[in-house]
Amino acid sequence: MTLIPGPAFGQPEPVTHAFVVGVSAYPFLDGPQASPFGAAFGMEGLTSAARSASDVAAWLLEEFRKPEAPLATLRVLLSPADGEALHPTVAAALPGPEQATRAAVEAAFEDFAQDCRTHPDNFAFVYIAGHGVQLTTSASVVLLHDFADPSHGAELKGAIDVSQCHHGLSGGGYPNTQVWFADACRQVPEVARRFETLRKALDASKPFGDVEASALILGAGPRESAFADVGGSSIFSQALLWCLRGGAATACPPPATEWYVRAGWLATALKDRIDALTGPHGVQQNVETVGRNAQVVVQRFERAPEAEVEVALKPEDAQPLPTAHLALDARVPVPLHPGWPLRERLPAGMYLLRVDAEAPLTPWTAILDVKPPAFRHVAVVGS
Amino acid sequence: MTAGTDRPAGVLTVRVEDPSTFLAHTLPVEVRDAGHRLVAAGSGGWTGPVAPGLYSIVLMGPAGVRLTHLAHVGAGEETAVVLEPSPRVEPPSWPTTAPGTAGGPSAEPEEAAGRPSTSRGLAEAGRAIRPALGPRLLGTERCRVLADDATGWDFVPQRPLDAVPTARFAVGDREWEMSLPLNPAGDDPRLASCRVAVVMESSPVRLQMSFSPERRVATFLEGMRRSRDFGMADAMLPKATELLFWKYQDPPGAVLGGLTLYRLGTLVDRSHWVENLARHAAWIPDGQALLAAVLVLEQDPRRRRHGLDALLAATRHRPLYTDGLSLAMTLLRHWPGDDREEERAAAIERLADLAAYADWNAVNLTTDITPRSTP
Repeated sequence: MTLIPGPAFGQPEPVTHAFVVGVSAYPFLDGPQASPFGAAFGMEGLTSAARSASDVAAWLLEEFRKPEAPLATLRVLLSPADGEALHPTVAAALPGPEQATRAAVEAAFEDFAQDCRTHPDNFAFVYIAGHGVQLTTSASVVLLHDFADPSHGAELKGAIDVSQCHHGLSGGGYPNTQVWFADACRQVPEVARRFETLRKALDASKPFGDVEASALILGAGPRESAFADVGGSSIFSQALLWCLRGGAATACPPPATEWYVRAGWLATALKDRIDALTGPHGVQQNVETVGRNAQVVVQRFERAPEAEVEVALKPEDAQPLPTAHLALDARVPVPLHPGWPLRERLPAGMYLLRVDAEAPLTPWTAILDVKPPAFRHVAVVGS
Repeated sequence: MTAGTDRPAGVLTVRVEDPSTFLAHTLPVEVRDAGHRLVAAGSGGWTGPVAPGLYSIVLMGPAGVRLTHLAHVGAGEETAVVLEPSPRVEPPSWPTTAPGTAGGPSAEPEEAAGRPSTSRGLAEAGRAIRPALGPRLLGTERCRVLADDATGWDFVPQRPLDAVPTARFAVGDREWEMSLPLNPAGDDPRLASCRVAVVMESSPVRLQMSFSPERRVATFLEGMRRSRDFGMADAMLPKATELLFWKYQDPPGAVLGGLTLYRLGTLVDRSHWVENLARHAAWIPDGQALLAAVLVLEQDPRRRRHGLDALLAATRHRPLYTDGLSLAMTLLRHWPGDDREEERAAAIERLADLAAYADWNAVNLTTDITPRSTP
């Protein structure tokens, strides 16, 4: 049993149905159960794919907000590595352990697809993490727990072809809006080459569909560094949750006062965020977007999300101490805590900063475009 | 939009400047207020009354990346914002005669030709010095080097082309082969060439292809593909792509546009255009793959068979773009029914060596060709 009921379980449709898979443990790739076929790939188990998936699942349960389609069902299949801690909310909510094997994933996916199909205005959310093979710029296969099980033969049976499953739900009464994420750890070319001609991955393919908007966002990170925090979570999942928590939010068109995260901008923000996370380490993680995606609303906020704002002073020891004035839209004064650097928690928006300084210092004026979750600025009043 | 009624309105004028008339008139602009709410959207600029306050003006720039300008509009004031995204630099020293000897269709020059360039690659010239032991050019096929400077190489095509031009490079201990989107129909080298630049900022140093700055619409598509930011400008993509084919006669640019439209799921309504593209740019396998992607949807089995013929023929040659390889592999794997399964398997096998060693971050097909020891 993999089903976790959401707040809207059993409520009238349209609703959101979510499908989350995370595989860290690959018993047939290495270790005592490794099969000759699996061992030949030279791949090891992962340390944080299941944790990453559980973080995303927890976000769906605790933070996902989409009033036009609240969360009704969440299907979660996790294969954690030994000692890998899952998000406590999800660990507590799961009725019992169920490994993300081909059979389990296939059965859960069929149930998920059936639920999705009950109303065209349902919303489908899919996140799949594990060892992956980026076959093309628009196709990704993620290996499941029982990949290389000797009973499968030398085939890709223990795997899910994410892009073809995405295609499979792109028409024929499936939800008009969907978002899919594949968080895959990339293989070295010599290994990837061996996957090119393998077949029989889980594939719900039909040629092409007619749903209005369905984004597939593929992340393929360097082999181990995609899961940089050992025992932590993948860079892709960290960036995704950063975006969903407001990093990729923008205001709805007036007269609405809400904010939302849409898939079109999410893909761009994800890449920027991943670049920011991986840049200092000199590694590169690919992010690709496939499908019509601009109109897919993934997350809504009742009001402008807040950001941690910090404004530092340069020089730090400027004397006499300059005075700061901050005004939303250059007209609504914002009360500030005394002292430098300024540290405030403010709603996203544009503020006019004016720093009054006495000679020999120079005054400073700037427009601050504050976006969540954090904003930094330096007010320069002297050399 | 209407300005607030409680305070005298200001006027905000946004203007986009670009040597390409098409881009200057069609680049999407958004104006957002201090609450980040969209208050106006336009193409190539916008003018209107706004309530006094703070505004962000977002432009999808000619290099295919978003640019943001912040403005403070005072009550009763007129505020003008001119978005001129690329720094102007001196024009490059291109030769005055086209390379090659064979004639080709005459391309209508993009408006940028003959004007001061706003090159990214050339704008960066002089800011970096290629180290003595840095990347080296190992050889070329169907093209030649037009210029070689501290930051990279400019290439022009041989004419006529019967296959995709390529160049081979050594970067550190690796060797790479790049497909180059050179345009044999470009009478002026500025409209035919591309540049491979050494990206010094990255670690390790890598190479990156860009269209010549005068191929501005192709540059726009390339930048957008590189940044993966399609949301703002998706409405102008079809026009840009058709313009590249019909007016500027830049088949490599048009194929990149077609691949982008396919990626966004909006190619299916343009089968006539795709058939023309595939016919007139037969030397680009990616165009044949696009044709197959359109014909696979046909009800008529003869049309579908024609699509599969085009696809299988395309797989005998090196694609131009990473997305072209990707599309061909996807179609081969998932062609409906059991049509010519063995031939498709053989074609996958042929392309697998490219796919496994492809740099999926590159726009043009870039493959690792470092000699590998056999097991």
